Amino acid sequence: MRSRYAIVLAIAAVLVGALVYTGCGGDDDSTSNNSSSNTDSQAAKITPGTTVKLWIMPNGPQPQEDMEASLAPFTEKTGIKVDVEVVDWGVQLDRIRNAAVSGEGPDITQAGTTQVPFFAALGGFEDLSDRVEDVGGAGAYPDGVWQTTQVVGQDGTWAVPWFTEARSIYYRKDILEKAGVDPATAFKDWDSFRATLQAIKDKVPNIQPFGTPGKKAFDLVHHVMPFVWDAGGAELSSDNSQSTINSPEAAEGVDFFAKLVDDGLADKSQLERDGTQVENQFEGGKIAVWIGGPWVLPSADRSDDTNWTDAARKNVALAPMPAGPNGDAFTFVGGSNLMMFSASEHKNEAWEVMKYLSQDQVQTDYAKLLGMFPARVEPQQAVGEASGPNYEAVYQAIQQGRTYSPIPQWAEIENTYKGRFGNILDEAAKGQYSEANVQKQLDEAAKEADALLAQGG
Amino acid sequence: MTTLSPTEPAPVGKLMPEPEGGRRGSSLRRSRRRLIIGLITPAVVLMLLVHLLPMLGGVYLSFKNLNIFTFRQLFDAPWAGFDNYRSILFDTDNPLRSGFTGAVQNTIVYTFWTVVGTLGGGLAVALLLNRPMRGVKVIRALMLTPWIVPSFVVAVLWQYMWQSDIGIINKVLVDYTGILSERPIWLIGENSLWAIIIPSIWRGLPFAMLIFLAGLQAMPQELHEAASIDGAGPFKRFRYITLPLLRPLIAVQLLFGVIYSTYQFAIPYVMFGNNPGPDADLMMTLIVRQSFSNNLFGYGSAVSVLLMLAMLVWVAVWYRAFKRDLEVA
Amino acid sequence: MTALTLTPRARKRLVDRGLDVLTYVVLFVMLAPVLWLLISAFQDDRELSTGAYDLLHPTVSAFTGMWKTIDFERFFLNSLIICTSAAALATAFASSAGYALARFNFRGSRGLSLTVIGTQLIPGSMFLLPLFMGFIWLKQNAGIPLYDTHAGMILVYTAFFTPVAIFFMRSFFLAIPRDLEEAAMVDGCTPFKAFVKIVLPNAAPGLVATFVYAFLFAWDELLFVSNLTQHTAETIPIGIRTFIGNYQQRTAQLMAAGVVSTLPVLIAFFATQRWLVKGLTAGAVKG
Repeated sequence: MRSRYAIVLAIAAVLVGALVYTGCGGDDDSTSNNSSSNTDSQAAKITPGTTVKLWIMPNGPQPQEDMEASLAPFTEKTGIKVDVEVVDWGVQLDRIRNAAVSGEGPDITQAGTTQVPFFAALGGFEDLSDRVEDVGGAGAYPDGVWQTTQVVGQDGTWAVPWFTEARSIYYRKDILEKAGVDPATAFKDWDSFRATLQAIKDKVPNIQPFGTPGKKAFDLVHHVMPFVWDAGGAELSSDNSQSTINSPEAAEGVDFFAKLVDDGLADKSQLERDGTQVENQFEGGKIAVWIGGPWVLPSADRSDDTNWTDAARKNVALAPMPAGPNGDAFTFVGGSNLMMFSASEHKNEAWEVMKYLSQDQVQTDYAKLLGMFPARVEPQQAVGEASGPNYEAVYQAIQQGRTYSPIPQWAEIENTYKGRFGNILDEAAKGQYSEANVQKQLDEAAKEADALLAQGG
Repeated sequence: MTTLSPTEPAPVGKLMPEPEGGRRGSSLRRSRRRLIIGLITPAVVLMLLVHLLPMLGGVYLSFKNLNIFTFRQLFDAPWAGFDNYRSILFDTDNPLRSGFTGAVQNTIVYTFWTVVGTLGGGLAVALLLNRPMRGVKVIRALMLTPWIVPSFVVAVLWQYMWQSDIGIINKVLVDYTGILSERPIWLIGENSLWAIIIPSIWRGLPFAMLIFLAGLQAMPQELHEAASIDGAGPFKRFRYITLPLLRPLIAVQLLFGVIYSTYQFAIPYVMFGNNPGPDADLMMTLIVRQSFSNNLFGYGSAVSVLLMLAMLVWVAVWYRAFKRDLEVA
Repeated sequence: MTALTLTPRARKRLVDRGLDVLTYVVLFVMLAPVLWLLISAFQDDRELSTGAYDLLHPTVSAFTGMWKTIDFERFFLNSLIICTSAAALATAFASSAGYALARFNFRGSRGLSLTVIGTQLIPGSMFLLPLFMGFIWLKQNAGIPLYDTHAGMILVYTAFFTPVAIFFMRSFFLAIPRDLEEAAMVDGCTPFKAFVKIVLPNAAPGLVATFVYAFLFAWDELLFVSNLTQHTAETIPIGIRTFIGNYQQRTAQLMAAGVVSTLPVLIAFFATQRWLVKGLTAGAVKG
């Protein structure tokens, strides 16, 4: 009988031991553990040879290599190594949230500009107000860009801006020519936008006029909201207390967009796809007009990018978004910022990395690789003015750019809107479009957003 | 009342029966008890730690107000009482509820058709294979292939096949065979529920077929022979002999089939992401979306609890209906 | 005009042939998607994203490229390590518990059986958050790292698949006659030694089948691994989705990855098919 006990105990002990061993020793991730006492007297002290962990999202076709190449001079100069990890956009929200809550994660992470308030409210991120003068503070960035580091209701600076992008219209010069449309006025306002698409539909076979992804695209809201803004609507009331997505103006904007699908001007099958797939369809010559960000431009120059057909590659051109009934031609300005985790054990070293990535030249070079714009004021202007007509178009768009309210609940509200916009487009694809249906979805969206807003405080 | 052990016959006798009472049997009893405890301890400890405790934790969390602002407090988040439940079940104004009724409906339809298709199809194919035929063993083995393909591969594959313009299914239906004249859209709208029902049936059918085939082959031939001598045709024989004998197996497949379908997550999630749209949203994608995208963890836990209660009701209903089949002579 | 009359024998032959054909048709329809998976995996990415395919010119570019596009090695290795370990542990725990349930009728055996079945009734989402929080709590208060570790995932998977494995093993033990153990005990063996030395070797097919069954389930699992891992312990179900996403659309590579992901379970299944089928159908065959 003693031997039986012994056997059971032994098995249990072995198992527990194995668990602890593989847990502690086996895994080699160098994630930071419980933060040790981080006295400020060591504020400026940097230890060469430390490894800083950085999370980035896929910023280009070769995100890992590009980032590592950009950081190589830094490591050489300071001896601080940077371990880069690429996290997909589809999962990054959950990952960053889990990392912030569990204290297990990298030292620095990239975050979408519209996500910063959410993460800041979640807790687990470092307030950088003390450090931010090192990179020039608020004055070094355009206003709109700087706002993305702030959170309504929570003092402090929660991120450092990294790169900026704005959405504009991509079109095929050759297709417009075939349709007999003058590019200079093709996308001037909503009416000419529709007329252009109609002309393409009537006169140019074998290519769809317009394509937009549906609910599968993580950035669907960025595509639809400019039309809402142009019609005079807004996603939330100006005091951020309630949702106004179901106002008549907002509905007008959404209606315009949905009618494109309903009238056959937008290809229905694109709604089954996500943003990247629709982008590839444009590059592959299946659609003539598309709304996207500047990151597409460098790939047209890359000969090894086989998504492009020759015709598309040679004839891609950009135009600012069409002006709405009020004459406004807003576009969504986004981009990414860098945030530091408060559980990081290498805060000083991490700050060095962030400072490096905020240097004018470094930021410009990296942004150019991606086809994005640097976030800093002067480099941004430099890129805008000196990189050709396509980039200039985007730079102009940035000046007319708008983004969402910097409240913590925005990330969730955006998610809700994305679902509702997706439903509206799906209904249009099924032939069930009607203004009443759109209004119903928007009313639901507003109710859900209001419930999410009520969570606060 | 018998032990709830539907798939196995009763124990073939006990190895060490309960010793007689009295002092003499006590040391035997003790050593027997120690053996049993030793044998079941590891499994029981695991189930307690990883099943029971977290489940209680889940129920506990359903009574809490757990959202992004309170998430960091984990289990110490503010108490919400029955608020979550009330807003799900009764608060018609609460917009988060609208997703709930839709998902319930979709899940019921999905479960119904998937179980009907899997069991009916499985039975049909089992009958088909229950014949002396050359190579039937190989065919049976090959027929199991869909079941082995991992569910995420199934989702990815079928999503590619369902694409309305370049997918192979529409190509076959419209271009190759001309059965339909227009390309239906499968991944959007009402068809999207079928876009997950059909792969689910495809994947589950082989397993049901396997079970039913074994049952068919274990059936005593004499009954069939006697019946056909008496003049019963194949359909009569099926209805009065085969089906009743298969009832226990069908019952078990039904029980677990409904549970498995109700808890289906991987196929809609991989195919549609965490927001399959109002036509294809199932309970699990709803819960995961509310919990992890909208950060309404208390709400998500409450819906999980309700779902589990619904399944308990199902088991009770099932037990009532099939109690007879569980009792072994 | 007289209808063609067939002798009963000819009619039966016709029906037989007809059913044979039907069987092959059904088989083809069931296998068609898998065939399509294979065909697509041997196509060129760019062609495939426009829906074109070429049966005459297969290429293995998808198979070679998929390892470079994403870190598929890591996912594959993680899946192998985690699923194999969890299946092995689950089988071990299940065999001892299954043996107890098969041989002994003790107080609480019915409760145990009910509990084991009951675990299958709990939706996964109910465990998810508490497990996540539990992992964090353990890390913060006891220094045991489980989040995003192999150990953590193995622990969770073992616990999840043990209940199913218990019933599997139990049916195998029931099929083994008691005489063997009784003979051994008459010779002076303790019941536990009899279990280890006599019964287990005889139940080897059952052990293998249970292992494969648990492995199949673990290989498939998506909900938990997507929330309890971050990078180090990610498995294939997580990784395979990144083939289609930001900046890439490698449909052929995705299909190729699907094929590669299916191979281990396919091999495991067909290698142990006989025993596995026996275990699965044990309840169907009385006596």
